[in-house]
Amino acid sequence: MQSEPRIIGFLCNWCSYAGADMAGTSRLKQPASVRIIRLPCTGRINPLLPLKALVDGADGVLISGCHPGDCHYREGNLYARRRLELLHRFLPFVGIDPKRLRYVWVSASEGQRWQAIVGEFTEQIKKLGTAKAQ
Amino acid sequence: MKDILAELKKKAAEILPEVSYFICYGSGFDLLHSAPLFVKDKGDIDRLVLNRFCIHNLTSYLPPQKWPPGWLLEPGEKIGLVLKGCDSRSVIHLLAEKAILRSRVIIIGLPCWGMIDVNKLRNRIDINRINRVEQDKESIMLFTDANEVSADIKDILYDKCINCQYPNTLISDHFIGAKKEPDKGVQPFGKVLELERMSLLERSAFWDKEFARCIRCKACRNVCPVCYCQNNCLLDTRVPHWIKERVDANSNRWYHLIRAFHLAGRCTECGECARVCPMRIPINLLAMKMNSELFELFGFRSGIDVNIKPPLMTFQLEEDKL
Ligand code: SF4
Ligand code: SF4
Ligand code: SF4
Repeated sequence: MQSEPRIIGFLCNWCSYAGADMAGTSRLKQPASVRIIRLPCTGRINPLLPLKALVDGADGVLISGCHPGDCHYREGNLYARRRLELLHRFLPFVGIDPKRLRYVWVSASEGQRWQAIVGEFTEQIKKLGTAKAQ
Repeated sequence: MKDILAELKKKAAEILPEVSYFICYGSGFDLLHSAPLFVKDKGDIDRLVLNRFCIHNLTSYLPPQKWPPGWLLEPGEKIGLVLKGCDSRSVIHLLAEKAILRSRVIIIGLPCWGMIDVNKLRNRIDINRINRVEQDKESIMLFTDANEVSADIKDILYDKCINCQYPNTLISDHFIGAKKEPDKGVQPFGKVLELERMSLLERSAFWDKEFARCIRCKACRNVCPVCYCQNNCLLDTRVPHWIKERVDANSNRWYHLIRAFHLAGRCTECGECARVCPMRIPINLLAMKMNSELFELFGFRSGIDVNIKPPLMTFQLEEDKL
């Protein structure tokens, strides 16, 4: 893959978006591969959103929310965890590489962790190559 | 099944005064088909049939009762229903989802010996010209003017009937006949496992081919007992516009992926979607895959226990397997 991969990030407003923001304001170097979509909560993520991103040709989807137990709305990410795990396990059944999807928990103070995750995931997606739009 | 038909008719006559109508099976357009029958008058009870062709999941004909009162059912109105074991799972799931009210349905349960898949007879005889059928518990004889064949029932059953885990209706107000022993060692997700033996690329190609054949008639959705969104179905909604009307492999894929997620942990594996598909796409496998994962993760089987909350409607702070 020549250019940066296209990764769609679904981030919750309260923890992960703030965490990513922190990575930015602390000038931690990270690849410009992730296009972030900010949502109120990972519980808002209908699994069809990341799935549509993948089906329509995103090279990867990275989802991040508050750590379980720390959800701003108490339980949104706990519903999300079940849905996203199911999505992850379903993808290979329809021929989509599950390595293109990752869901993580990043808090508002974990700028460095975010930097590491984005770096790692971008590398992983680069190895997989460009996804074919379906 | 003949022996319990008389009993069924008797029971149907008994409950008819209590219900607005009774959903059961009547004869179909030929000897190899039955059809859903809606009985309102006592005089029609003689039209009931019970044979090896009663494949339809009659749950699909229950009006969704969570609609405002009076919209489809008057307050207090009841419906009678005859249910096979597999079909009763759909009713149980609808109850677990609180989509229907237990007090509004009167269910007659029965034991089932499996239904015949007419498609499995196609290469043996011209099924459009059958003029006589004889059957007993083990075999069936089919006659046309020119030809006759006999077949072992077990070779021509629907796939889901070959290994039946739930041959007796799981929830009923009246059970007729003697209970049948369930088959032993059933692998409920066998077809999913078969497909999983392929590589990622092979499976991708497999579905590409299947989705390209789909004509988007939406019969699979319409027949599904748990697809009860009716006017609110996402697949018919323009705002937001989730899916193109155009019928091609890509939008068809998206159609089926949407459905698969709407059915996760809800599909009761009745197989009706695949049965009614005019293109014979094994489309039930997508939701079945969801179910197999939910079984592995949460030990959940849909439509078995009214009191178990479907796994995607709940969570645990500490998940065992996540
Ligand atoms: S019934 Fe078959 S052809 Fe019709 S929409 Fe469903 S999968 Fe497509
Ligand atoms: S998706 Fe198919 S197998 Fe599952 S409940 Fe609906 S019709 Fe039955
Ligand atoms: S496809 Fe989804 S929205 Fe449509 S009827 Fe089924 S569950 Fe409802």
